[in-house]
Amino acid sequence: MKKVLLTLALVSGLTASAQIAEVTSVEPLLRGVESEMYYPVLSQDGTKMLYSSVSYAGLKMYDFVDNVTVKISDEDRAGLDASFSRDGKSVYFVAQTKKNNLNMRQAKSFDLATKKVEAISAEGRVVMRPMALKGGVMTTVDDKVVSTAQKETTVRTSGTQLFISRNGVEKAYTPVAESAGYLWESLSPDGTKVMFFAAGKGIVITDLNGKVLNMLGNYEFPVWYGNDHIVAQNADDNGYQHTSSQIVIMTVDGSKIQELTRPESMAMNPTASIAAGKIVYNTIDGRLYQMNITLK
Amino acid sequence: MKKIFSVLCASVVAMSAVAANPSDLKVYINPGHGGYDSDDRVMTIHPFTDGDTATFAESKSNLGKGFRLRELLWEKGYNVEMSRVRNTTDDDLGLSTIVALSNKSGADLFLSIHSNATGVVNRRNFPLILFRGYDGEAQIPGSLEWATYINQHLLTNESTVWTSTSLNVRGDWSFQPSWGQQGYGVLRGQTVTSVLSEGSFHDYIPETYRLLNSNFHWIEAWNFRKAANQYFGIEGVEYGAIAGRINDERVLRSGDFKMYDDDLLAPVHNVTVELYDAAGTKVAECVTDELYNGIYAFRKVNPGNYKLKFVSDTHYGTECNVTVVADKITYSNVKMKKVRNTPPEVISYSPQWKDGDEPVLCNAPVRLQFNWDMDAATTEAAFSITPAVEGTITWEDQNYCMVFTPNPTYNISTEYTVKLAATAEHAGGTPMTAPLEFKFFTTDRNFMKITGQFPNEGDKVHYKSANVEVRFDKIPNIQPILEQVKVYDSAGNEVQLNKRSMKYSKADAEYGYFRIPFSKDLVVGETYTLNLSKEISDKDGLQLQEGVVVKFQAVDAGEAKTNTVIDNMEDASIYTLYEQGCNSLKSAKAANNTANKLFDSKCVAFTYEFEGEEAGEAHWTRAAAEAEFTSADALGVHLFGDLTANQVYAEFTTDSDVKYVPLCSMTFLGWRYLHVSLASLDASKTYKFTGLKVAQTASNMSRIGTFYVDDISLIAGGSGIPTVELADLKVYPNPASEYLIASADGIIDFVQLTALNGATVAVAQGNILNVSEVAEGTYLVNIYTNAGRTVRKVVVKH
Repeated sequence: MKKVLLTLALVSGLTASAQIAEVTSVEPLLRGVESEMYYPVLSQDGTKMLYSSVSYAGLKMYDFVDNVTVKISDEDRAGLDASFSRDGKSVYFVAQTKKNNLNMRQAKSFDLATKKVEAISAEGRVVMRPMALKGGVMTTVDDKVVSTAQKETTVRTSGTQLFISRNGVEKAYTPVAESAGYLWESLSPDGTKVMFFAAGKGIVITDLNGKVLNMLGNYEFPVWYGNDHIVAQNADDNGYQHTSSQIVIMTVDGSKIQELTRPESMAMNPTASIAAGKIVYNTIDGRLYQMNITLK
Repeated sequence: MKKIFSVLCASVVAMSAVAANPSDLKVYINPGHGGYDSDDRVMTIHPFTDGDTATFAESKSNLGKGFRLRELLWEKGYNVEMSRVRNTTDDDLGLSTIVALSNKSGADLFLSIHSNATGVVNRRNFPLILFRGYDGEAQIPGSLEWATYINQHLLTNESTVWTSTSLNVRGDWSFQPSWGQQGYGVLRGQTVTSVLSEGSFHDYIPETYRLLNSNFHWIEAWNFRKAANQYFGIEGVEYGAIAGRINDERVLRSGDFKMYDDDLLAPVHNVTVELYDAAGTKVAECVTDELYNGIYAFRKVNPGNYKLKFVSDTHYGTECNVTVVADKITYSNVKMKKVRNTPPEVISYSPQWKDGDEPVLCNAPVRLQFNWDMDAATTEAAFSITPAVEGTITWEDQNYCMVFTPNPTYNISTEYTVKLAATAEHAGGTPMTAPLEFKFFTTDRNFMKITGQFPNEGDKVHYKSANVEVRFDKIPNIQPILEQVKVYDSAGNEVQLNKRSMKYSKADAEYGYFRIPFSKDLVVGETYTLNLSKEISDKDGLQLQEGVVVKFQAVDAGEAKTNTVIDNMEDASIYTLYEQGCNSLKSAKAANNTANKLFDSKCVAFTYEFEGEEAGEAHWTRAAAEAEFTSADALGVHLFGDLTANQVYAEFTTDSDVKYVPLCSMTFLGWRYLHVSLASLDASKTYKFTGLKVAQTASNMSRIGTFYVDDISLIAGGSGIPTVELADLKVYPNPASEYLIASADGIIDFVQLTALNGATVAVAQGNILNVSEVAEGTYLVNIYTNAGRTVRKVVVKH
């Protein structure tokens, strides 16, 4: 089991090619509360955090302000596609059950005030990660759109197609060919750029017409840190197990990249909130860390 | 094939009977690795070379299986996604990416396709199916069942050779306990029922070749689909298939690797397999490849009865009936008989010899090379050699070559006749059309001979920096020497020899030898045993006729230092070469030596090189030492012998007389104390020590040598040797005319004939004295041994 190095060198940031941010501190989260925590998701303001188990079963929320933990769901897969609503009052997730050995999925919402769970969609075979939008949530169930939100610019992927919806009109693009599929798509906070990961090609930045602006390299689990930076996982493996994994931050134009943890830190699955100036990630053995940074 | 379906656990059975529509189902296929890069598993096998991507690469094989599986699943109506459809480094996706793609795909099953490797000499071949969790406790629901079905179906493949047919379904946390609960990266974080299949062992070389074959990929994929159908309760297909492996019925597969069962037999290339229906109509055909696997398959055959015909240019055709049933592969492994359409004949043989040729080595094997692979029984029965000689028959080159090896050798200078009767048959049963007969004549040497060795039986060996040295009539094979030369102490413990300091003959040396020092000094007083194996051989492979076993004792040659040292041998410059006293000498010198000294700081090294193999003499003189010697005294000399068997003499001089007293024959290596009687000096005179002389003993190993001398002493009193009575001493014949021979119960060092007035008439090392040129008369003969001197009166009469 790799040891996470909480050294001064790590805290001060590890320069790869340029300094983008200063790491002011790194601290463990919920130590002694949970033995293993994975796949953190920060709320936009960084005051709340969702997390799950290594198999994505179950979903919990930690409130940084009140220092309390709330159980959202015990269901399978609940941690895979979890997100906060725009107003931060609800949590969206997709639960999975088996029926006749078929995986059935359903999008659900959890009201943080009432602790009630409500279905967003009917059960389906393929359910898209619920998208928190103004006034509600949007998802797709077996390619059918289910929405309670106002129309705004959205982005989703299916296979090697990038769908960008603007003004109620959705268009499909294939900005990168010869990929096994697109993952981890998202819209920049200012709504002007699209980021997704093309398997085998890496992070792709496009404009709202699907035109490729930048290819940033083979970094997994990318998330926005403001409009100009991206935080991601840089991992390597031998075909059977991971041999290294670290958290990096890069500029959206690809001109600069900075290692935030060492390769041997086995740091994975980052989430970020520029409003709170922090990045949260888990290690391969299920420890959560909060890294506080300041952009330079 | 061992039946394994009965071992299904109850939970597995309970999960399996749920019917679904394949079009509602999705399977995610991950062909493991990718891109021939650092995390790929490549096996470079004949005929490929390093860097050739046509050889086995696990990335390529996994992708081939993935394609075949996708085709089969699509055919059935499944939805399928694959993590890669190319084999480049870009397609070797990160483990997190693969898991994310699988989770996002909406798949119901995930399969990561791999093959296994032992990485050890003891190769094996069986499936291993891994799921996430501990053994029997899958973390992802359904994974244990999915893994079990895959394992069961893979084991039904009869076109491979399994070394185990037991189920091998393992939780990755149990299988790799050192990884803790991290497990396999491609299973970690999966929300889809997931397994990783190591379908077979790609470093079991016959399987490596099979994994190059697309039909073999298809068979594995067929079994994956069977498992998926079983998992979902989907009905099978309405058609069946035929597959199998074609091997030669008796020709063995060549290659230095592990093989089991039918894999020992050579696969047959380019066999056309024709499929005929019950009406006799040919409905399909396929051809085996040239990649040493013999795999064939008909992938889609309607149920019914069929005939398979196997047609080959190199093998006799054969056929068999098969029954095809729906949703099942019917296996038909076939062994074909090689075409041998002409009678057998010997196309070459050895030894080739005719009158006037050089004789043949006495260990030369008789080799008969045939045009066909031969039947061993009839061929061996047809073989004879005259005169009869014991030997063994072996077969090479898949029975194309028979070898008779004499045991141990032929007789020397003998003509042998080899016959092979026409009754010898090839493997197809056809005899030769004519017998074969040839002759050869052997050399006059059929064993390797030892021409000198140290220690010999009973030798006293100086304990410090001792060596074992053996000299031969030919250069020995050095490589196995350390296993063929062993020394043991009296308790039977092996005494280590310092192999790093071993010296041995150069390729162009005049004679063969090796010298090996002991790793540590010997223990004074201890008795040791030297064993020289009979297996010691020369470059021609001729061995010793018998092994050698001798006992020797470690002594301290320096213990014998006496009080009256007349020369401490610290100054070599007082010894000068006396050229008039030399003969056939190429070069010689006396020099101080510190490395081998026995006393004080130095000794003197006497180095010489004679021009030929006999009659050489090197003579050093020195200013007369002050000490005076008479025939009543003895000389004490510490001498480091060089194993040349050359004779060393001490020179004693008076104003009118010069005597050369033999010190020793250098049949030893290392220090030895010599106590030399001076009884051969003229009893009426007083002598002084004035030099040393070495005289060559005729042999090919006596031309070059170095002996060392340290403290030389005067031992005053008597002859220096006690007069003793030797047991069973005989001196004969008496009177003698040519030779006078002494024999006793002990080793006689030398024999000295003196006149009655004490003058030495003749001296000889050993026990035989030539008196043919001694004037007739009565003499005294002094017989010297380590124990002392005995005197007898003898008569010389011609």
